[in-house]
Amino acid sequence: MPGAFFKARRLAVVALLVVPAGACNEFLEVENPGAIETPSLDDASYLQLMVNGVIGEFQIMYTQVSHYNALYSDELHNHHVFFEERLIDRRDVAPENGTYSFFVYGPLQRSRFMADTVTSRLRTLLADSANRDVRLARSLVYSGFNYILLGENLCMIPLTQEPGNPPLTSDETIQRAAQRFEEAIAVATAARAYQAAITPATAASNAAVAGSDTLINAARVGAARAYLWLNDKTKAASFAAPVPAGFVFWAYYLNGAVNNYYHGRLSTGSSGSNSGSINNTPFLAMAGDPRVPRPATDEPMQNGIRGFIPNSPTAASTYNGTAIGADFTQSSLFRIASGLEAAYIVAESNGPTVATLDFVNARRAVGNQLPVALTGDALMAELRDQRRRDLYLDSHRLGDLRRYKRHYGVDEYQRGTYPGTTSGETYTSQEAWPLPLNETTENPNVTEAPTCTGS
Amino acid sequence: MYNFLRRVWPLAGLIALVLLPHGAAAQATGRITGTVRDAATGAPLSDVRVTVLGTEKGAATDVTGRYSMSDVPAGTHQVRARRIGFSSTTMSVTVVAGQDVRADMTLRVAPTQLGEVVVTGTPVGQAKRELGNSVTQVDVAELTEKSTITNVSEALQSKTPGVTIMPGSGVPGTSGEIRIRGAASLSGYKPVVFIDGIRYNIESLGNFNPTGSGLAGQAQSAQATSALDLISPNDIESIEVLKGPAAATLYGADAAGGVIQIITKKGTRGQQRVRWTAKLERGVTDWALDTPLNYTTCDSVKQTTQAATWPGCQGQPRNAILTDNPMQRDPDALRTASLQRLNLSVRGGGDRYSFFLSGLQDKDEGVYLNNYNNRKSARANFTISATDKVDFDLVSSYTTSNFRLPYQDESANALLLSAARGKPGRIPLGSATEPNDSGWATILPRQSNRYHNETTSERMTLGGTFNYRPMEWFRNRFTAGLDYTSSLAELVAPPGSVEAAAGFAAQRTPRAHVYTLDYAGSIERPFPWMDGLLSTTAFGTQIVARKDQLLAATGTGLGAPDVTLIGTAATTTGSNSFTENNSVGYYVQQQFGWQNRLYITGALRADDNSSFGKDFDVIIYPKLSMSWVLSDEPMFQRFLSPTSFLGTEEFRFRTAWGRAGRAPSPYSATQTYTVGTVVVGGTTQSALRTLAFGNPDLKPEKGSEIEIGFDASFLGRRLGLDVTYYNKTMSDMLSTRALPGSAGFPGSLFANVGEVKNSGWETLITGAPVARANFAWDVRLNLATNKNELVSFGVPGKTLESPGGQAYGAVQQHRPGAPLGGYWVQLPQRDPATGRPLYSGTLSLANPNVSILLDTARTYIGPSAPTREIGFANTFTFFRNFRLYALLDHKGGHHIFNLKEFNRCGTANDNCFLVNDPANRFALANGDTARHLEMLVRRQVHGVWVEKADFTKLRDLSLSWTVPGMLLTRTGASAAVLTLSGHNLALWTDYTGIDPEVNSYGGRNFVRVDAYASPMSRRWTLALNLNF
Repeated sequence: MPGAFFKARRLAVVALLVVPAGACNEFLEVENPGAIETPSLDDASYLQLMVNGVIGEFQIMYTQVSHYNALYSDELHNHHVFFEERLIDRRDVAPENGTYSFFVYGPLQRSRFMADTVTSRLRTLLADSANRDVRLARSLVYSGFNYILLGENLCMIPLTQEPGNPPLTSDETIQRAAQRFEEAIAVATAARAYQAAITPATAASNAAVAGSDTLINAARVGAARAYLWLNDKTKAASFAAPVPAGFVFWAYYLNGAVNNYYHGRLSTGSSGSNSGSINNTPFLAMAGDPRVPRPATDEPMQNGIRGFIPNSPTAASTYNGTAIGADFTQSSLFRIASGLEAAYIVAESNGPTVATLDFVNARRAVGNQLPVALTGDALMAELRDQRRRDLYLDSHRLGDLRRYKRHYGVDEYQRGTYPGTTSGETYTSQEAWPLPLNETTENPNVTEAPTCTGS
Repeated sequence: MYNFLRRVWPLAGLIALVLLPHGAAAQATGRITGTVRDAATGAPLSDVRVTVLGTEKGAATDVTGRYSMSDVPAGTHQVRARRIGFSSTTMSVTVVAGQDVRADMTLRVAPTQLGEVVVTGTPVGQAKRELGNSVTQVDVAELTEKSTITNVSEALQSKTPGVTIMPGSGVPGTSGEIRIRGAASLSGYKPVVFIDGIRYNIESLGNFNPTGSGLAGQAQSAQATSALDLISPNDIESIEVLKGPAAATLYGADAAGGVIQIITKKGTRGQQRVRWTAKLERGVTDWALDTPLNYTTCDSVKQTTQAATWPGCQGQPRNAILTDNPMQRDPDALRTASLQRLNLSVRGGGDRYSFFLSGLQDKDEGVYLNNYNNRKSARANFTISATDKVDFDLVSSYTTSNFRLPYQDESANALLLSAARGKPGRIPLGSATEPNDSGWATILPRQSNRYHNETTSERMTLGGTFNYRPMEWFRNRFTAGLDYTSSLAELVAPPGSVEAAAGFAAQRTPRAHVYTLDYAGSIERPFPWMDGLLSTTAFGTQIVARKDQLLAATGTGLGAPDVTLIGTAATTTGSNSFTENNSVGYYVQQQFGWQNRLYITGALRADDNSSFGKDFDVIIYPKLSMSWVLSDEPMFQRFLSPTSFLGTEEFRFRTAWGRAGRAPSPYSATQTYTVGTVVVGGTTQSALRTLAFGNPDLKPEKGSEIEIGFDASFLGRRLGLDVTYYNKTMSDMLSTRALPGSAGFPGSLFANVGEVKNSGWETLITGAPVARANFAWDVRLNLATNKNELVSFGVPGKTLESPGGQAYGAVQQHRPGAPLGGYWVQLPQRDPATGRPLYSGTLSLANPNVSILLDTARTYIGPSAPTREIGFANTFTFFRNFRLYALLDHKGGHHIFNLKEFNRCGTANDNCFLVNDPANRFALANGDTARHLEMLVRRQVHGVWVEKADFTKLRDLSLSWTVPGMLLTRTGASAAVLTLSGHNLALWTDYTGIDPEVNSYGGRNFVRVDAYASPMSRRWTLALNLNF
């Protein structure tokens, strides 16, 4: 009897061993045709897809962030029906503000992460040829602009949740931007030389040469912008000076694909329209300046109020040089960097010189303003005024407000009572975007939520 | 492949019908015939399994309780009769060659049914007396006899303590949700369902959202459909419910939400007589409950400055109230719908085989004119016994369903909304070509009825089970099965329609394949060193693979009303998706039985799943249980015996502890990128995009449950008591953690960090208070409670989360210390001295609509799911042939957000009675400021519309008449039963909406809102059940 008992147990063990033999690990490796797993990116066939990813994340982020930067700074005002937008307009952004997290912080960090990841992978995949490959230069340029936007607009910038990596300051972040731009210039210059040496020249090599030129100039403007922030005006001017006056580095948009976000927020008739006006901003007083175009009459906005909703400024490809301007379209290209910005950097770096006065008067002419004969601080104030008109809505203003306060002690932030308030709301002392809740609670490197009350 | 099977299947059925029943009579055999009746009432019992012990002979009784078994070898045999809910009976019968012998038997109601064998994952099932956990059985065959059951949800509703059915709406085609012992997790709580051992798909049929998803602005609802509703209840013998981890450990990483085992009808081996059953049902369905009255007060403004807008108010006395009930007066709004169902089945068997074949045609109209749910199904179940040691079960079914859903819920084009918001006396809205009617706010019935949202589904389930018993003590079972579901969902709005002026068409074709491969073995041997100790070792492996594919396309701008092909549209889009999930589990279970009265069971189950993280390997689930039949224990005989003062027939104590899991969603552990678009130099190109951060440590949720209880029968088995207390904890709950933006990926992160608890009591009382020859009264009372609590999110600093997909005015939140999805609302601030609401602004006749100030903190109102449920079923049998069945269903302790009424009372609509009641409307003018403010509270504050949802319904009422045999002599039928049954006949509730049982978001976990949801319909059915 005991023998039968143990025989039965042996049979059980055999059955258990035999039957599961068919179920091997491969069975648990399932297909996921809708996704690319991270290790697959080590394949060189993904190179162009990755570089496009860097551009794509930037495009999606750029006009979105520009719009909210405009609202947060003094470029737009909106007593919006949705309270989080009002809080942004009042610079009263708490970590819980989901609109900020969703539309600004998340896209900025994703764009930064994509550029960093792809840059790193390009170096590995391209190996020795990386430093003369225009694709690496492109990735570095976008990476630099990501760091610029993070550094200028936030007061604390975490880059990873891996422990032991404390968040960067704005200056540290912008130093990284400068490094990337300088590296981009070196790689693009080498790429240009390599492509130019190809004989006979091909369409591809010619395109690479032209592309390298664009990237070199974009990186120069970026580097100049970084050094201006860092108050190294000599370097800023040296990078900005060679940039051709007519140079523009665009973010591309297209109907139905990657749309210009301003179209959805500011153009007439679009869903979500009427989400920002120039009422209650310094720009309301700039009637007649085509660089801050607005319709002839105000329009109905949300919450039952009316406002002048801006049209395409100089930063948009739909800018038409008229005081009324043209609506944003889905496909309005939007400026990231330009020769015009480089000229402003040169002027600011040089200070109140005659050349600066000439430049200011040239810009005033574009704005249908009479020439001035200013010197010293007054001239520099006028330079700041022209800059905010020329760079309206393109994500420079918030950085400028911080920079003016840091370097010149000039406070142009909106202060005091918040327009339209019925409960005594005021603009707060916040001067840069803080960190959202997901970063303050989930990132071990962030030990305190920054208040961002100083620039 | 499927079309081929579709064609071959009926042919196979016909061959089986022709060939199988003709078993040749052998020499030296006789026939056993008889009738099985209820011992108390003498009423015939159908579907009783009668078997000749030691042979393969068997039969099932028909509706008159009769059975017949031919070719029984001459000699003396033991004949046993068994049926769920009754004690089995065995009698000795001597068969004489060439003769008939009669063996009439009676069965006694057995409240505890300890000998009943239930499916538990092991090869041969286990007797209830061996189990430390409770298993509830529902005798669906009996239910379908005495009332009209349209789907599995109805079969379970109020019949099983601990199983909560929460319907979405009364619209045919939509389905409710099933919760077993409460919501166990934030990520979901659906049970897993097996049909004859094959994993069964219960997900959505892939229909378009019944408010018109795909059309802009129409996605304000989420009524669900379920593939579970495709099975015909007439094909089901019984349903067994394993309610939680303590019982479902052997089902592993997906079973924490409970397991539902559906056992379909089979033939009985040896049943020489073929038994045909035809069931014809005709019925009507109607709205039954209130339809909304809308109101307009013809005040001075409407009669002067707005006279052009309110022509109906002109000539009326000042402040006259106009009322309208458009759903009642408009013949295009509602109908008394018809229901037709024809079910034909045949079962029988020979020495080595048995079969059950059935076919169903079901046409079920809804009360809306463009709503129906039709179903056709066929089933063929075969059992073949090759030898005494080997048999093979083949189950197969094919079902096709076709349902069309109307606009519902908060869709602007839904009729209930349009009626509820109507403004009598107002100038008609609508277009010049199709002017509206002022009683309807948004759309007319004739417009809404054109809405075409139709889904056609096919389901095929094929499975085989191979049972091999090399030795009496060693049993093996191999099961392989495929459950395939495919749908074609179509949404068409022709040009000129109210929802899409340019015309719109969309199609979705979801397909789901679920494969099951299962091996189970068991060894049952007496323990070698100890008399009376029986060892049973069970072991096995289970492999389940699931693939879901979806192809979808839309077309906008159809050009012509007759052209609905998407390819012809001006703008088209297309998309597809694919998910795959595979799992493997192994288990071993050891049970020791002592003297057939004390059972100790221990088990381990190991699981691996493709959705687990790469850094996580296998999870082990243990189980331990004890069952002790104290009434069989000599030392307790003094207290627990029929002659004791307690009059106890049986008493069993049981307790069980076990774990089971819930796997994460496919792919959620993996870090992935996807492909999007980018504009490069003016052209669109593909670009890499981040998709999901992934969590390589992801593992299944871990459900742990302890249950303790007893089963007892008293008073000569007239009273049965089954009491269970359970305490279930889901730890490692999948909770969404915010993903820091610096991670570079969008969205959130799943992590195993949270914890949810459920506890409660389940009591089943069965009794036969009266049991006389001409009158009997059987009672079945289910009582269940559930206390649900989110213990912790497990995420530092996370104190609340709102269930996704709430309508505006979100009033539900998950918060630690309270039930999942509980109602947390902002109430009005009140003056502590007067109790009056506080407000901003200056209140005056010129400025009456001041803003009520709200508390900044939210107040907990209560849970959204019932905390107590009572099912009270009574069956009265009189004069043997008449049976009256009534089921009362009570659910309580929960709340629902009456968004409909809040919405109607708001300033945008202004047409509920509350705001048109002169006492409220002119309260301010009459100086009654307090009343005016209270009206403003009702108009402005969502939270005050969260109402108690307690209700009691007369869920079922039916009267059956078993036609006397003498009336059937010329019909050819051997038996006939005529049943008149009603469903949802009466409602008792304090809820101010139409029906507290509805939920406009039936397809979403936790969200419970009555946003113009259609109530449960009333149904009357006359059924004729014929046996041949």
